[in-house]
Amino acid sequence: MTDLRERFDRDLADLQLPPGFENSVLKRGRQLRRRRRAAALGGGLATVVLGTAVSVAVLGGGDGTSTDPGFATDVPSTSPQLTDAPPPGWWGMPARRMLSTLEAVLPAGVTVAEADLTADGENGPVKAFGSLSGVLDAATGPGAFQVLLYPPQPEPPTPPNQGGETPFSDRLRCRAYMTSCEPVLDDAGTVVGRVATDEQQGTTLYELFLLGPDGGALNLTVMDSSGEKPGYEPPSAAAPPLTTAQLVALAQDPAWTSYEPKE
Amino acid sequence: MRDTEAEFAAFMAARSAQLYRSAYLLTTSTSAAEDLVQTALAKAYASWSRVRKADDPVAYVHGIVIKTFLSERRRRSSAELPVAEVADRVVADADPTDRLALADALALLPRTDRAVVVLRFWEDRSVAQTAHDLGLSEAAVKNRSLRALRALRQHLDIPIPNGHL
Repeated sequence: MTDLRERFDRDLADLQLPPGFENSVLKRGRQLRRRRRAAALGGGLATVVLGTAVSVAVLGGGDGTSTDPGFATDVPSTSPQLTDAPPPGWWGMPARRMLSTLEAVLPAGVTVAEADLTADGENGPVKAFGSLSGVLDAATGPGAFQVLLYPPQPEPPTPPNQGGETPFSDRLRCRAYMTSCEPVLDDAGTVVGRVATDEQQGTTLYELFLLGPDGGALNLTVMDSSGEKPGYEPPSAAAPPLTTAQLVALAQDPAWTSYEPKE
Repeated sequence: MRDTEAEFAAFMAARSAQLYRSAYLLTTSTSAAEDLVQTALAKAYASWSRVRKADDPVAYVHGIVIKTFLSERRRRSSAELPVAEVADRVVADADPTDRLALADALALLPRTDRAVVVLRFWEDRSVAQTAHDLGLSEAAVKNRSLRALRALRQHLDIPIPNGHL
């Protein structure tokens, strides 16, 4: 019989971070720093740096009631710098409207059980734009979903090793780690997306990446688990709540890309 | 800027392994732990001028890990940057069975109880420090410690450390 600390030491001794981890941290850190500078420059409107993500958060939208556990994790920069902000477009659809859009286009028998309409803000959750996640209920059981709307990427794309995101053209490719992957073609036979199955730690994820009009893109995922990511929680359903074909059909509905932001 | 980046890189090289272990205890999953540490270190990088001036930058960044774990709503598939293809992973795991059993036992605990266990019995924080870091009362920390250790004992055959709750 050992004590808890000894057990921790023994079981975690050989736990290793994957190769390339530190470069990924630096890349994300630079992106975060640029985003904060953009927020500072925007006078309270934090627009996500072009290509890095999709949600647009209004600073100060939190209720200010969260307790401060003693750590500052988000410290706005005091040296704003010009950055590329995404142009207004369908990718800026408010999460609440995304929810009603999703509910309208879901196939019969699939419903939204939970939805998160918020994004991480400087001082807590704020209203999300272009990002919706939650749990769908289907005959197979409950499973997590996420819809992300991407603004256009800069031309030429910022290289990933300089803080840029993976180019859309790369995201269309199938990868070796995917359990299965099929291209999505338009009427002319051009590859405009791909739908993949990814199995991790006993859970199954279907992920669709689809190019949209005006240079934007959509990313839809469904899982057979209600965890935040594949492998976070054991399966909660016999299968993801949508099939890959349903996922493609849902993403291709023009309701997602017909949103016009208010001027 | 280069000096600052080099300083942060040195900090990360020295501390990321331990942060990863803490994150694993919190999340009970290697992939979730990678995401959590990546998120926390990215936040530390973006605020490095402030972090480096803290009385204890190491404790400060461990605190970011805890706070991020308890509060962040991470995106399911694209917020964290992939660090390597699965085939590139180096797995040096002599006997994963024990670690999986540990993860399974920890996963049964509420998230806040897991955070209490990590702070008290992995990072060796005092009850008062743990209470401050988690925004709890000291009594709540003690109660959660006791409850968590009782649960862990049932699954891991470990004694409750009397006098250290």
